[in-house]
Amino acid sequence: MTGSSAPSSQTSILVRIPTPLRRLTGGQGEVTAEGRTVQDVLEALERQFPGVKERLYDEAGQLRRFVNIYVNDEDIRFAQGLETALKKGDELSIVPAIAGGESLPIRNERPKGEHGGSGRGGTANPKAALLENSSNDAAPKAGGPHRPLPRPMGQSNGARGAGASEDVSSLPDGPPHEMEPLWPA
Amino acid sequence: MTKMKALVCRECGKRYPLEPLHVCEFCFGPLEVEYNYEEIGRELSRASIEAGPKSLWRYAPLLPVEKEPTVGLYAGMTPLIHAKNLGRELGLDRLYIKNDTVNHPTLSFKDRVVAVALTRAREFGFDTVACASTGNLANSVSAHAAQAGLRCFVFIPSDLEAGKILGNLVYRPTVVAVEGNYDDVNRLCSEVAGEYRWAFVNINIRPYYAEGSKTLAFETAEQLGWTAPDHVVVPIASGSLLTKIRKGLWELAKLGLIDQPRTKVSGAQAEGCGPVATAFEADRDFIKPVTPKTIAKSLAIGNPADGYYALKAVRETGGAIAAVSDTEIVEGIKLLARTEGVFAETAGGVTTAVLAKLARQGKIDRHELTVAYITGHGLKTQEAVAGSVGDVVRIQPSLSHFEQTLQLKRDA
Repeated sequence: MTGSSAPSSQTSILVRIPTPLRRLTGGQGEVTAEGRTVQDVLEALERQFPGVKERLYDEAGQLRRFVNIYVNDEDIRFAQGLETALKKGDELSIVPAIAGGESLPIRNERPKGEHGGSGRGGTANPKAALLENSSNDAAPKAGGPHRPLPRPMGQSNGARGAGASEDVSSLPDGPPHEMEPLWPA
Repeated sequence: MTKMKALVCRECGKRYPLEPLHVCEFCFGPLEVEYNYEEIGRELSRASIEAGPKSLWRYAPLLPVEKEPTVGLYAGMTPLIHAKNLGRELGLDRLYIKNDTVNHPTLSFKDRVVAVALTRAREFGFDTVACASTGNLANSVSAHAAQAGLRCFVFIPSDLEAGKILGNLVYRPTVVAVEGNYDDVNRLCSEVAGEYRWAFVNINIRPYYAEGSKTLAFETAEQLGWTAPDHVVVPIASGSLLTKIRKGLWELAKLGLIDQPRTKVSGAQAEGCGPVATAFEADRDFIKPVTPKTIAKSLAIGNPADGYYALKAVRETGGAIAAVSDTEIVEGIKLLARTEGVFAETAGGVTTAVLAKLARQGKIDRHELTVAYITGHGLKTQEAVAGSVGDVVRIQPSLSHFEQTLQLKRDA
């Protein structure tokens, strides 16, 4: 027993980074971060790689809906969410759901089975390819023949830096949720 | 033409150009077409629609294409059947069936979304189209691609019904049967879509493709004399159809073509693949993916992309979601055939059985004007009912044998 106080009781956790976020981790697909809960680890990640957090959390501080986080193979929404406790040897996977594509892009991101391979070398989701292309301006493959770059409108360069609300207010055509008034909330 | 403004992320509101994109690179939310309703409203009226073609293209101003349609010119405008017999059995006084089993050319509602998707894909300049499919979508993409002269790849689970496999092959696309379920197929296609410059109708073309489903709502309202139903029952696979039917009704109201709808939107799933029904039942707002095991293969999506939005639409409108067993699905198919003369595939069995269940539970009131969406033809899923619809009466070609076998008495 080393006592219940801080650093020695911290746990180093392996975190798998999805392709769209690797611009923020210097291209690394796996990093380690300290923490005893999922929340802790994500905070630690933000300290190491500033910008990660705004991609994962919305303005209200909730995990974004189309971001899935798995501890080992379990979706944290079926555990204690961000408060889910971590222990030595746990692996945390951040996986964007492909909302537009009807699919869970992982079956198993761990490299144990045959299928695990695609979770590592390749990209487990379509968007990943899009984003990689947009980051190096090469974009020769994905998308339509005359599509230059899949970049948000009115945004200077890449996804980093500006928050969503800022970006949107700089657009010519008014507020972002202009479509929503089809029905009142 | 400025009727489309941009693609907008449904989650964070970030805007993107009108390109073959489907997901927000910032927050990973789905992208949706944003329209300029003021502009559309200037051109669109009941009269202009009624003067249009007898196809879904009569609603072209509300569809995400820029020029004249070039693919799927005859899809849509399927019958809205006043289902008096079925209504009588279920205790529903004003029941209608929107019969997309007779959609052109491939007998399912997918002819709508594909007409829009391939017209849009051509506008983008693609020469190859593809899809991940539980069957009906592949049939429709194959047929439309053949007619349009586009190269075509369709990806399906390898255990599909024979009719749906044949219903691809006859159009001579490349049919890729993947050993796995739909969710496996879809995941593979997501990867393929990243590597090839193809129009995957339900991946990179999805924001445009999905809008085609709104035409089911437009037609329903027009066929009811420009009024919205009180209640709709819609099958849920990815959840997109349900959300778009709701959107379609609300768009018509926004444009002043109908009164503000109070339509309750209800959803139908199979017990063997009911992740949205389960979330509804448990009052959760997230969907736990499942491994599908149901005869309703066209609804066998274990991880529905639009499940969250479907749940939201059902809750916001005061609808319900129910799931039914395989036995009930077969009974549903037979009930619809026996009462209304409509032979639906398994998804239609799900919808009919859920309709019956909700009526029984009092979740649909007998006075509500209710529309059930029957989305595909029964000849495509013959396996489902083959063993349970009786057999022919075999006789020798003689009058006496006929009368003897059937024990008929001649008319006096």
